[in-house]
Amino acid sequence: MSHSFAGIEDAGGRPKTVHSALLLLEAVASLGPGVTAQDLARELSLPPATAYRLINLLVGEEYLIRLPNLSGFALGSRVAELAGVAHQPTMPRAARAVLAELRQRTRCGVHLAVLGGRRIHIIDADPDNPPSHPGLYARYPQAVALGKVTMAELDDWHSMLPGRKLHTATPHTLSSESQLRTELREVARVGYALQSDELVVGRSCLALPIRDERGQLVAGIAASGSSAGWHERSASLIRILADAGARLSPLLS
Amino acid sequence: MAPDLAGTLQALDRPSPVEGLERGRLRPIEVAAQSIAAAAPTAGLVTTPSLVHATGAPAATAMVLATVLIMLVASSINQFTRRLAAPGSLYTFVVRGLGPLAGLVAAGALAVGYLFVSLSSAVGATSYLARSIGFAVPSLQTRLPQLEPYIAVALMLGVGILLLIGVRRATVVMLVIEVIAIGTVVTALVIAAVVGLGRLPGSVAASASAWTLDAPPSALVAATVIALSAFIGFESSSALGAEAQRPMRTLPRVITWTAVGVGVLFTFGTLVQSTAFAGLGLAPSANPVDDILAGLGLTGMLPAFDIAVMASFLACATASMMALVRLILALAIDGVLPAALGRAHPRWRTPHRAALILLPVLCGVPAILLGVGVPVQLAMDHMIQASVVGYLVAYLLVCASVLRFLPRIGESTVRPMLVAAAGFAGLLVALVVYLAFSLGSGVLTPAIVIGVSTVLAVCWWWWVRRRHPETLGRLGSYDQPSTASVWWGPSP
Repeated sequence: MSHSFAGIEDAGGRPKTVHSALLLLEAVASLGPGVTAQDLARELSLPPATAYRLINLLVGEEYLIRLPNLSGFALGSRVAELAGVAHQPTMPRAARAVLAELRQRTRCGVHLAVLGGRRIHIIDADPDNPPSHPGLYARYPQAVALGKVTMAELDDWHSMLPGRKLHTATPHTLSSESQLRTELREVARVGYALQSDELVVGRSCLALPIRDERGQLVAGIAASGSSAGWHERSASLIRILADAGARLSPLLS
Repeated sequence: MAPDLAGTLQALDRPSPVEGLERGRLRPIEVAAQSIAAAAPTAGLVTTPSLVHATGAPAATAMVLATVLIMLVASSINQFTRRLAAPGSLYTFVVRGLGPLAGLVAAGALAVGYLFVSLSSAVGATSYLARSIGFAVPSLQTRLPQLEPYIAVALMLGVGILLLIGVRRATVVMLVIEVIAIGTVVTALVIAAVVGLGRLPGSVAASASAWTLDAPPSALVAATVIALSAFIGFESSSALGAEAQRPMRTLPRVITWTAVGVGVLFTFGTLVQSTAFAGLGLAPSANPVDDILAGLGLTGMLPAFDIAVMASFLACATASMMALVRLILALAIDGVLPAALGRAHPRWRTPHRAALILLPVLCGVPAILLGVGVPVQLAMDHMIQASVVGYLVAYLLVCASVLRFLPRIGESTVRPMLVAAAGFAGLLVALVVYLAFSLGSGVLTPAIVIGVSTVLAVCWWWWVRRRHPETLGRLGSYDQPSTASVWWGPSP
């Protein structure tokens, strides 16, 4: 009668269960927080009853967390123990000094991210104005300035979207492929990306790519703040960030 | 789902509504102590089997049928314990499934269940302690009736201290009590079975007859419904969800295995009692195990047995009050009761205000009943039956809640929905039969108490809806995960 032991029992007879459990963890990681049990079952083509049972088993073990809306899931902090990810990428001291100066000068949240392949990996977040919900980047890359910078670089930018689909975070999120394609072309042309109310209403951001000497995208620098008055500030912010990017490029590549 | 996701993730940044409690501390065995103590198998074994036996139906069959129905209920409750950890236990679950009105009715019914089983256990513990004192010091025997109210107050003050000083200490005390009490009663039953089967003519035939289905269906239904009262409280560890380590793994296991364990123990106990009753030619009585032990010439075991039963009653009162004060805390956090009741003690991390308000009731009612000379058995019958009806209503509502909750969160599959529907149907029959049984035997208390609690809950809902409609929208708060419990990926 106890479902809680079922996973272990099945592990002897049907190793497939363990396989499915690991795939579930992987799917939550790639689809991002907020993914529902139905999404997961569909994604992995698992029978719903099996998927829900495994998901609740993983929630019981705290590898997955059930979010406060009760239908969404995220990876639990226990996954970090499993992966042993204690390592923090080191930042050259000179780069840190550039960022500190920038934060003081702009008085908004300035963040540095490593952009490689399809990942947005913030390596230095503004401690005083932290980015709002970096955990959402995986699910809504097109709603994030750093995500647009990354996608503008990719031929196959669909591959950054979870399940190759566009999810909507707010009424301002780009929700059609044609809109997004136009936006990415614009990002590539002007050399920066804007984000206003697209991830969280009331929050805006802009981001610029940082390239190595061969022109390869290595990092991104972003400034974020309240949407009020953001538009007026953006022109001067772009200039300041572009200047900082040029100084950071030799320090990072 | 998507547009409110940012809001949902922002909710992670808010402190958990139940952060005053000592969260994530209790080990599985301590959580189990809560459910076992509230189900009180030792104390229940003294009364329930003989009541089942008295219906004339095969008692062991009735026990097995009751176990099956309780497993359906356990499975339905676990649809919630696997998904949210809430000190308000079934009240919170019903709010999440059926909404505020049904939730408040469940809260009222659950409060009736917890409070009346505590009061009944207080009377039971007092009477068993008084009997043990009478065995030990025969010269006191004549003065014991006058002393009983004071014994009751002293015992319940002890329970009050356990409620206050911290959840971990209280569960450890209950655990020790239950290990000793269950050990003693199982030993007594095994000895009675071994001695009895060897000595009593026709006992094998009698034990076989406890298993048949050869009884009028109405008697079997009545017997099964009475047998259900053996299990009540088995779910009460769900009130410790916020305080347990890995609650969504531990709670379902504890609730399932408590139900199984109580079912096995009671089936065995019923079998031994039916056999011994037939063999010894005894009539059902208030103290059947005493009669059996005396009939088999095992009077030497009586004092130990009485102390074990007394301790089991005490643990039952403690566990039921633990769940009740957490229910009050949850109602206060939700804004239905004064906010002051929703804050835990800063050092002990227990709902101390709710405990202090209930303590006079817990001490006073048993002391007054015993003081004015109400017969122990009569008082206990009324209160335990009121409690059973309260629990049955709460179980009924939680089974119905599953049918709404799982589709709402997009996780409905055939099996849990069928289990919940079967549990609901079974409990509905059980509730009607139980009320008819208690009314038929002239016990009006259960019907009155559940009627009053339901009317109060409806009035309360109506009043809150008129005065503070926004409150109804935030009922059902539980121990939400925090930002720290989510892994956001390898970024700082």
